[in-house]
Amino acid sequence: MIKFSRYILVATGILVASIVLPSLFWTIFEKVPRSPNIFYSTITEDFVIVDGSKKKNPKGKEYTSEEYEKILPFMFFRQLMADGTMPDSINGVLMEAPSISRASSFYRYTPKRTDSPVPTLWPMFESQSGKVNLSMPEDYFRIEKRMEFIVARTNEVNEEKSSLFTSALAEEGFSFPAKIIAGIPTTRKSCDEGYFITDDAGALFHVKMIKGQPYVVRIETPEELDIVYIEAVDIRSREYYCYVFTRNKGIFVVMDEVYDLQRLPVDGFNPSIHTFRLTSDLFNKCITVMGSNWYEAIAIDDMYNVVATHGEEWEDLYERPDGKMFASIFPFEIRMRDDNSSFVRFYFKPSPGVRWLIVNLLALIAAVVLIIRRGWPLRSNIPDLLITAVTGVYGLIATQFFPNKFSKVKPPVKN
Amino acid sequence: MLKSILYKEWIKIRLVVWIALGLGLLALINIFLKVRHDILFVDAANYWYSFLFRGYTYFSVLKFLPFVIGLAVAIAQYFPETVNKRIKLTFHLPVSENGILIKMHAFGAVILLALFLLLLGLFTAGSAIFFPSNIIRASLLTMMPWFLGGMATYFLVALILLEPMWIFRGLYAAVAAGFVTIFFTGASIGAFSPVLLPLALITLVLSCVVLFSGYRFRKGEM
Amino acid sequence: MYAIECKNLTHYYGKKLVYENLSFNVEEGKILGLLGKNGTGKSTTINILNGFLQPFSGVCLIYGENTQTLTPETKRRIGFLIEGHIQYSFMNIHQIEKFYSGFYPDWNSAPYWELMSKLKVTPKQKISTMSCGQRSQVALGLILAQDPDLLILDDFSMGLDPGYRRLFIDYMREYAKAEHKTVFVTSHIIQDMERLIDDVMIMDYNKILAQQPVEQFMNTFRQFNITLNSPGQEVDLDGIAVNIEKVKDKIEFYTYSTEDEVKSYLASKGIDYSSFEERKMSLEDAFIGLTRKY
Repeated sequence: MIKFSRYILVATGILVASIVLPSLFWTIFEKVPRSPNIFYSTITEDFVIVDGSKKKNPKGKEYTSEEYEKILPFMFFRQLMADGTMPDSINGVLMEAPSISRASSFYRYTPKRTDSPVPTLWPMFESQSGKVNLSMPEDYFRIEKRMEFIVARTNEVNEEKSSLFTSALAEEGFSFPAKIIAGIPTTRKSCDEGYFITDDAGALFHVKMIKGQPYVVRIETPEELDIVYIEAVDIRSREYYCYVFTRNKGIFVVMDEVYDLQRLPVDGFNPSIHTFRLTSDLFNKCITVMGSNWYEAIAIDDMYNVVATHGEEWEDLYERPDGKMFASIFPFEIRMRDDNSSFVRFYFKPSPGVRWLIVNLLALIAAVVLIIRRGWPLRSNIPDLLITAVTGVYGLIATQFFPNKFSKVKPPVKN
Repeated sequence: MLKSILYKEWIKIRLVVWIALGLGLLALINIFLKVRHDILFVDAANYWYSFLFRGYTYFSVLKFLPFVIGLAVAIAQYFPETVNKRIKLTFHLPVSENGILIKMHAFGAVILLALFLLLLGLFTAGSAIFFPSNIIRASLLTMMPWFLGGMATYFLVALILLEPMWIFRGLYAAVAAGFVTIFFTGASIGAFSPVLLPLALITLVLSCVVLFSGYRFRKGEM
Repeated sequence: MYAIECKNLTHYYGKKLVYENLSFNVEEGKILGLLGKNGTGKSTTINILNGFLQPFSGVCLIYGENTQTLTPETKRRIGFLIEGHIQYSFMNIHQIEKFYSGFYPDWNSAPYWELMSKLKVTPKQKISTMSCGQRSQVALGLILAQDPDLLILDDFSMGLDPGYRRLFIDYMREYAKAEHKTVFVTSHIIQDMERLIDDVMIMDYNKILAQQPVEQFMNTFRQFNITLNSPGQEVDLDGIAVNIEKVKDKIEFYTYSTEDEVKSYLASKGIDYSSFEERKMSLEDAFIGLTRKY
């Protein structure tokens, strides 16, 4: 029992050391990782890569700030108009501020989105109130065994409204409870389109409230989609309602009114680790999919056809000097937070390669020396030595912090 | 014999326990008076909104209360034992040394747990007046690491106090500080849910580490 | 039959030797005093006896049981008074009596209350607010109520005024002899100790200087004072004396030899002295004589 209590302490010590020491290391040594922004220029019909303060094309030609603004006229049209350098028309289309800003949108997905705690109560707005401004409803809905509206003031279920919506959902074949509920729960949007909801079977529904009545559409999905995330967007062009991220079939947008699922030309997207960006202008959309040390940029036209692609790869964390240094000292690290999640977990990150073996060996030698100097027999300290050999610096610290007093001590040598 | 053991432990901690209970009740009263007030002023729907979509935690005044209570109970229970190495008297009683330490420690842990459960129960009951189960569940999930952290604090501070050598007290305190910090890292509502079970298990096994200090004491590390 | 048997104890603190191969026994019914200056290993011995310290080598037995692994049954037979009369001072005298009585089936509270009735303390007064003398009475009363067969008293006289010390010693002696108790007592204050103990064990750094019945020790250990005729004379008393103090022409020395043996030794060494005197010693004098003043 007492020996057991010591190993618990040693394990706790290793846990704490493997959280604290790496975090200290990174605070001191971490270099800013590369994180370029990629745009597509209708003017040059090529990508523009913004990397830190440098702007260049895929072949490496650098742009000055003026050139940069000129080849991205939709991004900088206010500046260009003020300067009087905005072309009157591009590709035969007249350049007018309202149409430019209506067409431009920006969306960014990070893996955190799919791995975050989500609210389970949502406000259902009246989408055709006849008023200019949206107003906050007095109740919130949840979809568990049925769809329920709870009035905030009384904290009681509005039975009438709840059964109305529950039966409307059931009529469309909704199987309770809901898995994903996605909407824009704010009155600060141009209009309300309600919620996009997947049911227990993974089917996709559009639910909103029109003049107090439920409006439910079962959206036909082309294949067995494993939907992991939906994000409703409020884009001014009203081209599509939402993005649908799947684990097996890539990324879709649900087209406005017609409910067609338009697949974006992105392959091999992993929503758990990849970032997705989409910038849109009058003529093109530029999609960037980014991993930790690479990106793939895809430009598409308004018919979602690919017009250009470009990719780059660079040194991964453990190929960089700071990462290399880390991997030659620490055998692993534990983090409580991760860039790809909002959840707190024990994120175990083993160091690649075997360079840390040298430090582990040194730690082991240090442990042996300390044991011998104290006159403890090596034999009864084998578990400590094994722990040190495997966990390196962490184990050495933990076993010294909680010393092994269970081994019989040899009397000191008399001088 | 068990009665005698618990009698002495209760004499040591009772004042702290009553104060802790008082503080907990005051905190709860404060929370719900404020919720009631705010709901009157900003409307219940908006108040729910700030919890659901703005991450506003109406119970954040409770955050460090379990830590303080765990610390205070551990000090009240074990500091008097370390003054003049009084724990020698305890180990000299005609019972097994580990047995009596386990009983003392279990008593402190059970009292602490009962106190925490009472506060959580009252919190749940109070929240049920104003909020639906979804919000209460998310609130409890968010508070759980704080209360687990309070238990872990109790176990680790007992370890530190009973340790006979100052240098090791310092080293244990460093590890304890690193570990307890985990429970109190800022995170959004419900973000701790995947790690609650592992943390609870670690806290549970930490309940026995006081035996390590007790053993070191008995074997003459002084 | 021995209540305590310690065999070949060797202990170090770090690399500092406390003692080597120390052996001693305490017979049942006897009162043994372990006397020594501070830092000579008295507390080490007490800690080993109570199982709070594991010696490097050697073993101590109490009623035949290794003190490192005493069973509750044996611990019930041992009364332990910690140096400084340490008790649970956050309790009052009623609470502490209630606490301890739960552990000892033969608890006899009468002697405890008898002692308490003489203390001028209020019933709710915490022990921490009592004087050292009052605390010693509480600790003593608890041990008497426990009614153990073996009493281990660690430096009980520390911090007591002479009245309380005398009270404690007389009470203890009478009690131990009447009830046939074994007592193991340590002290660095020797005053009054001969009123209490049967056997004496005098400890110095790393070694035992004397271990015998106190009467025998007092009868065989002697102090002689001589005055030399020529102060400059080289005097070699190593053959008989255990400790010599020389101030100008006056020499004080301590020895286990008789007057006749000393005189013939002095003659054989050709030491020329004018006065010769044997001094009567108390146990305290003898202790200082044996262990030296510094």
